[in-house]
Amino acid sequence: MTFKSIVLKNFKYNLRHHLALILCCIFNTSIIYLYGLLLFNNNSGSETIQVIIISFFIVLIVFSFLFIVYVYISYLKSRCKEFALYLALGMSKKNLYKLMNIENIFFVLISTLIGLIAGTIISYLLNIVTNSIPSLNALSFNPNLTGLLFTLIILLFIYGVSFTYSHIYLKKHKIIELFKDSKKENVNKKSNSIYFFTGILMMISPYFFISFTKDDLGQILALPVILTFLAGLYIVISQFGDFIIKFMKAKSQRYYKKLLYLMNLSYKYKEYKKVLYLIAISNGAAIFLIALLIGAYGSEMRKTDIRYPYDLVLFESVENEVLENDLKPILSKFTEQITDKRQFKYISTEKYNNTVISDETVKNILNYNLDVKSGHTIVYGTLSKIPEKNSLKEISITDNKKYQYIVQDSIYGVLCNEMPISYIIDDKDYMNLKGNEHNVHIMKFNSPSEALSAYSEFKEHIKNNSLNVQLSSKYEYVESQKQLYGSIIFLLGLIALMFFICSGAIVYFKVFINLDKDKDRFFKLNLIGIKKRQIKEALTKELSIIFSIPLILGGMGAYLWVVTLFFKDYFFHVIALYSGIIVCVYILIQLTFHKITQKNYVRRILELCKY
Amino acid sequence: MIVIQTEKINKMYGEIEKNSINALADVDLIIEQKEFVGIMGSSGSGKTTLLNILSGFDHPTTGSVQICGKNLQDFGDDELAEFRRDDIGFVFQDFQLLDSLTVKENIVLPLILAKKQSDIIEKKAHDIIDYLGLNKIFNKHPYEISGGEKQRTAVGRSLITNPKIIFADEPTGNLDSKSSKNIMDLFCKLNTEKESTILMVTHDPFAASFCKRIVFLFDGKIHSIIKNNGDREEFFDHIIKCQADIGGVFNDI
Repeated sequence: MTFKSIVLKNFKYNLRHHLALILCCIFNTSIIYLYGLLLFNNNSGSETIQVIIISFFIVLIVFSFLFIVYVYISYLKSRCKEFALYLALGMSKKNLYKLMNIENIFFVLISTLIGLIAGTIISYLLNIVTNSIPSLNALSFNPNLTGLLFTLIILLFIYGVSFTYSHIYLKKHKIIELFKDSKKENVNKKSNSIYFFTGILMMISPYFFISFTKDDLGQILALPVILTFLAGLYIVISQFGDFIIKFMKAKSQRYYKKLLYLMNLSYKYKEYKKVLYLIAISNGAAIFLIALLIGAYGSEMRKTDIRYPYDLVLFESVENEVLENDLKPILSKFTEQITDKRQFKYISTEKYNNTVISDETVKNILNYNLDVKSGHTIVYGTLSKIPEKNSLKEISITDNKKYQYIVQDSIYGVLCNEMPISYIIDDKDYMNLKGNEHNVHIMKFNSPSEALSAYSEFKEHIKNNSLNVQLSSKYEYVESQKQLYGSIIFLLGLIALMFFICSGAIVYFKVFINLDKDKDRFFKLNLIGIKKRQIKEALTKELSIIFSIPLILGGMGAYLWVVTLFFKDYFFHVIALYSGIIVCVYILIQLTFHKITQKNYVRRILELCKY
Repeated sequence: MIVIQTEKINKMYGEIEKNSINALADVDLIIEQKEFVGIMGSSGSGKTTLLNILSGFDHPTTGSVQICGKNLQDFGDDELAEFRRDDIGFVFQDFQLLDSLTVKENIVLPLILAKKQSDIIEKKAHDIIDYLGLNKIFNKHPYEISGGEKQRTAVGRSLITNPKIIFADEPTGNLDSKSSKNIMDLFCKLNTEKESTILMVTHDPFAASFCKRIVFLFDGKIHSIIKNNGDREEFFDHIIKCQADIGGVFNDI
């Protein structure tokens, strides 16, 4: 028997660890490859989508880097005793590095190859999806060399850092240190409930800060606020086990009852703190991204009804009367389908899309019940910066024509499409205004499809004849929003899926890498008479507490961030509800995955605990 | 009162009539209450197999084991676990303590498994800690205490349920001579003061000299039984002589 055969045997024996690492690397490779393809294939022309893809790609690279480095370090530490034994038996460190390099090259080649093949297959499937859904047509995953090369460069960097770390780690540690059980170091570290509460405070404080500070200050301090939250989360996770135990110890009956699954909680929370933090962050990020988008989408769709009260709106200058002349044939064609058609006049201000309307127009044509006093104005708007009631508002029609009014009332809403802010003034005041007056034709149709087809015909005619009019359609806006959000949600879905799988993979990896320690613990308990049912119960509860807490903390943190960001939004309740549902669904799916892992793990422990 | 009674227990490893190894052959053993019995023998003589069968970790191929009148073969997995928890105390060579628990928590673990009330647990823990002199270390973790203290903790754990019998598997195997003597003194104290029945498997003639009776195993069979008449030094010599009689078996001495 040669040393080579011993190493090979040992490799086979530790296959579970190797396999977990390879699987994580395969997954990582295919995700980076997919995003690489997307990045170099984007032909949407939309700047928003391009910016989103690039930002997601940066998030992805940072996360992949942390994920692989973490998994690799865990893997390395799990093999320390084996390396120490080789060194103790006379293997030189040079030969050990050589052995590690051979293994590493093997892992990298295998995982990169399989990862790229898997990525190609998934990209093919994703292409089918994006081609068959019109709103996703802009996204393409066609194989391309630039994407491949880019992926390989990123992987090279990630693996390079991981392997360099492993060499430094082995170089720095003596044989005896490699032999030493890390468990004792962790348990020895002191803990204090004050740390736990400080962490909680650091996690909560950003919400109050963002909710109650002025926008400008909030933007400047956004990064410190996020960092405070992340640091708080880390402290809470690392102190959670000790805090629970201290809390339980306050009543001995309760403590003894739960001791079976509490006994390892403190140690595991300390040993797993980095991985639990990674789980909390990755799940939090996934939840935040999905909830943010779904919430924003829900809010945007609701706002559409307010911002676009009419199906079709046509703006023209008073002198032109394009609708009654040039567009008359089209108008006549849709007479049957038009359920409501009105016309009113307004004066545009110097500021883009701000309008001044007479209160008589609003009362008689738009059927609003209001009365504006002379020298006053009622403001209708959907933007966050609408002037406050009783404040003095200066409206400039042109550079040298400025008028001042007292704000009689501020109301959330719009009078007509494309009018984000309208100033309603007294009819006599309106008559005295000197400015460009415009005509607005507002129309409502029987159905969205009729409105859309009328819009297309008007639009084409206007374009062909270069007419000086502007068109606005509620449904055209809805369609464009669907197109934009469709692509973003799809991309987000991919990112969220990656976070979801990574977090699940980390749990699986971490749990199974510690199988021997748990086996040892329950074997000892088995000797003194623990029942199988009790092992099952204790392990299930222990794993549930360990892995669900970061998930819930991350989820709640993400949810709070979403609701805090939309705190001042008119449709805050919609966002809070939609994102709340997303958070619950996500947590439920992830918990189900944890349950399956737990079940599998408990079964393995029970098998191994047989005397 | 008979605590343990075995009837012709045999343990075969491997397929019967095909290269099988007979680890125990027709072992008949009776252990009375308040006895302190040592089992000695060379490696492979069947000591550990016997201990595993008596404690319910393993089943004999043929024969029966009765503890306090209950036949172990009639027990299911859960009943055996309960039996180990409530009726038997274990002391192992490698202590088998949980590093994540304190000394006190390790001691009361069988009571926690039995879901006893916390006031009962506290009281018993207090008594045992006092009795074993563990007051200074009961809040420490196993990795913070010495081997002798670890074994005292393990003894405490074995006592907490007031078991009908304590099984000790090489309890001094991992200890230095001073700690070994302390642990054996403790066993004697338990045997005389608390009237505990103890069955100890050991290689060490010094540890064995604390017993009241020694059963020598050789090739899975009972080779001889010797009794202590009260003089420990004389009994120690007797043990050495018996080992020499078995011949070639205890070459390590």
